[in-house]
Amino acid sequence: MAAPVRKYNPGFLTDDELVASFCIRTTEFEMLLEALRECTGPANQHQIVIGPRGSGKTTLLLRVAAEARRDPALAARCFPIVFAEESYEVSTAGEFWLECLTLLAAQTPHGDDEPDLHRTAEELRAIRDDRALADRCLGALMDFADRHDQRLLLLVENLNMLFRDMTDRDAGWRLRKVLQTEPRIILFASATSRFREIDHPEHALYDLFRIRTLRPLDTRQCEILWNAVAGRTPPTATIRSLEILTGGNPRLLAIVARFGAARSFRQLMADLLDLVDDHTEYFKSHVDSLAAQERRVYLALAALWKPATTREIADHARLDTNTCSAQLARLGAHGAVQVTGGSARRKQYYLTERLYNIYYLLRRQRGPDRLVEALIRFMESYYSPDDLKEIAVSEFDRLVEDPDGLIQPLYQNALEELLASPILAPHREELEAMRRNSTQDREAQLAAELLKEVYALVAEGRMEDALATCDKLARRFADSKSPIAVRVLPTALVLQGTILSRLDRLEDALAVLDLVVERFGDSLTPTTRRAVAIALVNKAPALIMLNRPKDALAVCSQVVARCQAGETPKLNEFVAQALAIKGIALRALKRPKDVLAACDEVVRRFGASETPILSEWVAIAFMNKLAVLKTLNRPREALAAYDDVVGRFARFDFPHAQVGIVVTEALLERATAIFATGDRCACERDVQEALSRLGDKTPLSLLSMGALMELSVDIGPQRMSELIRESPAQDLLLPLTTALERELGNEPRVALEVEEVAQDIRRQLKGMREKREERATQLGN
Amino acid sequence: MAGLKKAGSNWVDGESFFDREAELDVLRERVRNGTHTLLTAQRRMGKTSLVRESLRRLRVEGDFETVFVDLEAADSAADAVAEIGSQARHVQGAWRRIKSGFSNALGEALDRVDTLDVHEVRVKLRAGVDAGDWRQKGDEVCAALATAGRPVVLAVDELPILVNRMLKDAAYHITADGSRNVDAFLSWLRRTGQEHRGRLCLIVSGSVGLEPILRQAGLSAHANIFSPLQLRPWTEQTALDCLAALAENCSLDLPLAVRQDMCRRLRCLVPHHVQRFFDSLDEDLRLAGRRRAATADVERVYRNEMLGVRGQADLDHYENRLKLVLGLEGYRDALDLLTEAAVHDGVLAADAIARYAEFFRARAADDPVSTDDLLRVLEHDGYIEPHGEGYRFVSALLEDWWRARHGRHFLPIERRPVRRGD
Repeated sequence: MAAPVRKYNPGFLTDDELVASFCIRTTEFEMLLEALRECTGPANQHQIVIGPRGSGKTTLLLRVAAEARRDPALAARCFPIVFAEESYEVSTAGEFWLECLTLLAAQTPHGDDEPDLHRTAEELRAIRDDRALADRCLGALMDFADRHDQRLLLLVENLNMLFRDMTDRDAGWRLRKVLQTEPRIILFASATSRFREIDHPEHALYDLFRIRTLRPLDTRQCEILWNAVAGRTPPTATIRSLEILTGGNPRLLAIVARFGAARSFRQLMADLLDLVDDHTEYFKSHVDSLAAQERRVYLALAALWKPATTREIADHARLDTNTCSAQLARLGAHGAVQVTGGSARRKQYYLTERLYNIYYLLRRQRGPDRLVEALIRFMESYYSPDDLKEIAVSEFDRLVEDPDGLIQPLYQNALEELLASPILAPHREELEAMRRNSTQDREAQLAAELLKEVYALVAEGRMEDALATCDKLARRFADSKSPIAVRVLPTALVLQGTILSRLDRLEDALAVLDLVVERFGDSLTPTTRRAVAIALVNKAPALIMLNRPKDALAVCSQVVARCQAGETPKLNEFVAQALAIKGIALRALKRPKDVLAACDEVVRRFGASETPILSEWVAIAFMNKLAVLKTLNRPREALAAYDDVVGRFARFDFPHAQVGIVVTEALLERATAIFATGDRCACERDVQEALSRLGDKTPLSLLSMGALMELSVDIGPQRMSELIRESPAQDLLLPLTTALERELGNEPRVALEVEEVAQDIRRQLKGMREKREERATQLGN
Repeated sequence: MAGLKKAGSNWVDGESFFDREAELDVLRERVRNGTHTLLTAQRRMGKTSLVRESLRRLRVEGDFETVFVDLEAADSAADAVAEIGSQARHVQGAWRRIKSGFSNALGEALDRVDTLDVHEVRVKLRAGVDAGDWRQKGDEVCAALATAGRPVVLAVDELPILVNRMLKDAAYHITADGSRNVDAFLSWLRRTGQEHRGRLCLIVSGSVGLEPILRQAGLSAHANIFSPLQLRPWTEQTALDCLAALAENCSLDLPLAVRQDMCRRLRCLVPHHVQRFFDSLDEDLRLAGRRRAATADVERVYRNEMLGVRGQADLDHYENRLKLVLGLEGYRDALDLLTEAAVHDGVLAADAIARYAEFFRARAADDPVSTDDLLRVLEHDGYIEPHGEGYRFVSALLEDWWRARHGRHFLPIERRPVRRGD
C-alpha cells in the first residue's frame, strides 16, 4: 500500500515518503523526466506545469526533484534547487538569481574545498545595481555548476505570482536571455493559471516553455488516489460521483478520501474550512479579475454546483442564453470553466477550480447545504447501509465535542441529512434513541472533563487558560436545555467570575456573577442555589476592592438572608463568609465597633465548628478583629484575642492557608506584646513556633513580615538571625537574614535580587529604630 | 530514418536540428561572400536555430570564428558592446586585445579574467563602458574581432528587442532621446559592418521584426546594409519526414495517412506548429495509455489542443503583430478582412474586397491605410496568399483559429450597411 498522502504540504515529506506516496500524475512525471533527461545539449527545454490549486503541481515538481537526487544518472548531471511556494523576496531579475544562490547555499552541504556559498550570497546581497547583482549571482551559480559538472535544475513554484510581483519590467527579458543562452540552467516551473508573461507575444516568456497542463484526474486516477488514502477500493459505480464531487482535484479528493478512512464528518468539515481559509485571498482575487458579466455567469455556475447546461446557467444568472453562451465561451478560454459532459449541442459546464466552488458555497447563505447534500449523496452511493449506520453511531460520539465557528452547524446539518437518508430508514428509530442517550452521556462526560480542566489550570496558576476553558464550557452549554446543561452552566459562570476576580478584572467579574444571580436566582435546585450563593458571596470582596463597601454590605446581608432560610449545613459556609466579609466592609467604612460585633458574631456562630472552611472564616474574622484592636490601641484585649486564636487553631493542621497565616500572625503579634512585658523567653518561644509554621503551607503575609522586623529590633539581629537559621523558614526569609547579617557587619554572598530586597529591609529596620527612638524621646520628655 | 528528439520551445542545433539544408547553404555562401544578413520570418519558423546551427557548422569547418550575441537583456548601446566583448572570449587573438582595451575596468581581475564565468566577465566589461564612450569601446571590440586570425561571423539575436527598448519609454511611446540613441547605435553598427566587411560578417535576427519597428521610428534606412533572407515554412515532404522521425524517437506508431492528415490540417507547415502538433498528439496518447495514433486522435487533438486555450496563446502573436505593423486603424481593418475570409472557408473573394474598400473609406480616420496596402502587408507577412481573383489563408491552423476567435459574432460585409462619407 502507498504511504499516507498528506493534505497540502508535500514539502514536508522526505524523498522516500514522497516517492512512496506518489501514485497519480505518473505519466506527467515521466514526461517531465524525459524532458529533463534530454537537457544535454547547448539549449534546454524549459517546462511549466499549469493547474489550479490542489491539482498536484507542487507534488509533481518535488517528485521530479526527488528523482533528480535519487536517479544516479540524473544526479550525476543535475542539481535540483527547490524554490519555496511563494518567493516573496523576489521582485527583480537580480533578486531572482540571488534567491537561487541562497537556496543553493541552503541545500548544499558546505565542503572544505568549496567556496562558502552562504557568505557569497550575503556579500552579493549588498549589491544595489540589479544588473550587476544578477550577473554576479549567475557567476557564482555557474561556478558551482562547472565545479560539479552539473546543470542546475530550478524548480520554481507559482511563476505567475512571481511575475505579478516583479517591479522590474525587464526582468522577464533578462530571465529569458539566460534561459535561452545558458545550458547550465534548466527551469521547471509551475503556475496556477496561464498568465500574460507566457501567453502574450509582446511578453518575454512567450513561447519559452513547454506547457504541461494538469488536467482533472480521470476515473482511474481518482480510484488510485482514493485507494492510497483510504486504503480501500471504491466500487466502480461510485467513483464517478467522487469525480463530480471533487472535480478530479487531487487535494479535494484526498480530503474526502481521508473522510473515507477516518469517517469523521467533523474532521472533513474542518479540513474543508481550513482549505478554504488558506485560499480566501486567492479566491477573492480570482473572482475580482473577472468582468462583471463573466462574474455573474461564473457565480451562477458555482451556485448550481453541478454540471449545468447553458440554459440552466442563463436562468440562474437571469441572462439571455446567447449572452450567457458568449460569457461561457470567454470563461472557457480563460480556463475558468470547462465542459464536463452533455452532447455537442447541449454541453454541460462546470467550474474548473472546484475548490472555489466549495469556497463559494461555504460562504453563501444556504450554500453549505448543497455541499452537505452532495456529500451525503456521495456517501449513499459509496457505503453500504451497515456502513452508514456505523458512521452515524460514531458521529454521535463526536456530537458534543468542542464547537468551532462554522464547523458545528455544518457538521450538525450533515448528521441530520445522513439520518434522513432513505437508506437508513429501517434503523432510524434505533439511531434516534442512540443519539439521545449518547448525547446525554457525552455531554455529562464533556462537562466533567472541562470542569476538571478548569480546576487543574487554576491550580497551575494558568488563569487565562482556565478562563478560556470556562468560556468554552459556558458557550457550549449556554443554549442547551438538557439536565446536564442546567447543572453545569451556573458552575461554569461562577468559576468564570471567580477567575476574573483573581485576574483583577473586577467589573467583568461582577457582570458574570450578576448574570448567575439574574438567571438562576429563582431556581430551587440545590446546585443552582449553591451557585447563586457563591456568586453573591464572591461579589462582596470585588465590591470592596472597587471601593463600594456599602454595596458589599448589602450583598452580604442578602447572602445571610438567602442561606439562613435553608439552614442546611452546606450553606452555612456562605453565611460565615458573608459575615466575615461584612466585617471587612465595615472596617473599610471605618466603623470599628461594628467590625468587632460582626467578627464576634462569626466566632459566636461558627467558632465551635471544626469544619475547615468554617474555621477559615472564623480565622479571617479574628484577623480583622485583631487589626482593629491594634488600631484602637487596646493591647490587653488584643493579647486575649491572640491567645484565643492560638488556642483555637494552633493544634490543628488545617488544609487552608488562611488559618495558618492567622495563627502565625497571632503568634508573632503575641510575641511582640509579650516582649513588651519583659518575658523574652516566652517571646522567643512564640517566634520559634511561628517560624516553624512558615513554609509551603503557610505563606509569609505582610503582617507577619512586619512583625518579624519589629521583633528583629526587639530581640536584636543576632538572635533573630539565629532563630531563622534554625527554622524551616530560612530559605523563605533569606532577604531578612541577609539584612540582619549586614546589620551585624557580615558580608553574606547572595544573589543580586536578594541583596536588593535586603537593602530595602535594612532601610525599614532603620526607620523602625528611628521611630522608636523618637517615641522614647517623646516619652522621656 | 533516424529518430528525432522533440524540440520544445527553445532553439536547437546538431542532431536535434531538422532539414533546412538549402537555407544553411545560402547562409554559408553569404558568409563566405561577406554579405551581412537580416534573417526574417514569421515567429516560430526557426530563425535562432538556423543561425545557431549555421554557426556550429562554420566552426566545425574551421574557416571562421563565430560569436553569438543575444541582446534580449540589453538596455543600451553600452550593454550591447559589453555583451559582444564578453561573448568574444573564445576568439583567438581578439580576446587579448579586448582585455587590454578594458584593462582599467578589469583592474586586479585582469590576470584571472580567463577563469571567470562569462556573467562575471560581462559585469567587469560593462563597468568599463558608459554612454559617452560606447562607440570607442565598440570600435575597439569590433576592430579586435576583425583582426583575429580568421574572419569572424557575429550573429546578433534579438536586436529588434534592444531597439524597441531604447526607442520607447515605460508607456511604450517613442521618445526623442530614444530615437536619437537608436539612430546612433544603428549608424555605428552599419559603419562597423561596412568598415570590416570581409573580416566581420553580421547575421541579425529577432523574434519580432526589425523593419516595422524602424519604420515606426522613421529609421528604415539603417536596415539597408543587410540583405534579407526570408525563412519559409517547411514543404509537406519535410514535415512528413520530421513527423516520422519524431514518432520513431518516441516509439509512437504514426501511419503515413495520419501524418498527412496532420499536414493537411496545418496547411502552412511552420516547424514549430508541426512539432507542437506532434507533441500534443504524443502527450494525449500517453495520458490515454496508447501508442498508436489514428486520424480520430488527430481530429481530437487539433480541436482540443491546437485550437484550445494553449493553441490560442501560441497563435496570439499573429494578431498582435498586426497592431505593431499597421497601427490601430489598419489593425481594425485587417481584422475585418481576415475574419471575413475565416468565416467563408478561408477565402476572401474579390467582391468582398471591393465592398470592404468602400466600407473602410466610409469609416476612415485621418490617415487610413489603403486596402491595397493592407492586402500587401497581409500577403507579405504570410497571412494570406492569392487565390483565384481573391485571397485565402495560407495556414489552415491560423484560419481555424481566427474563425474560432473572431467569427462568433462577426457580421460579414454583405450584411453591413455601407456609410458613405460626406
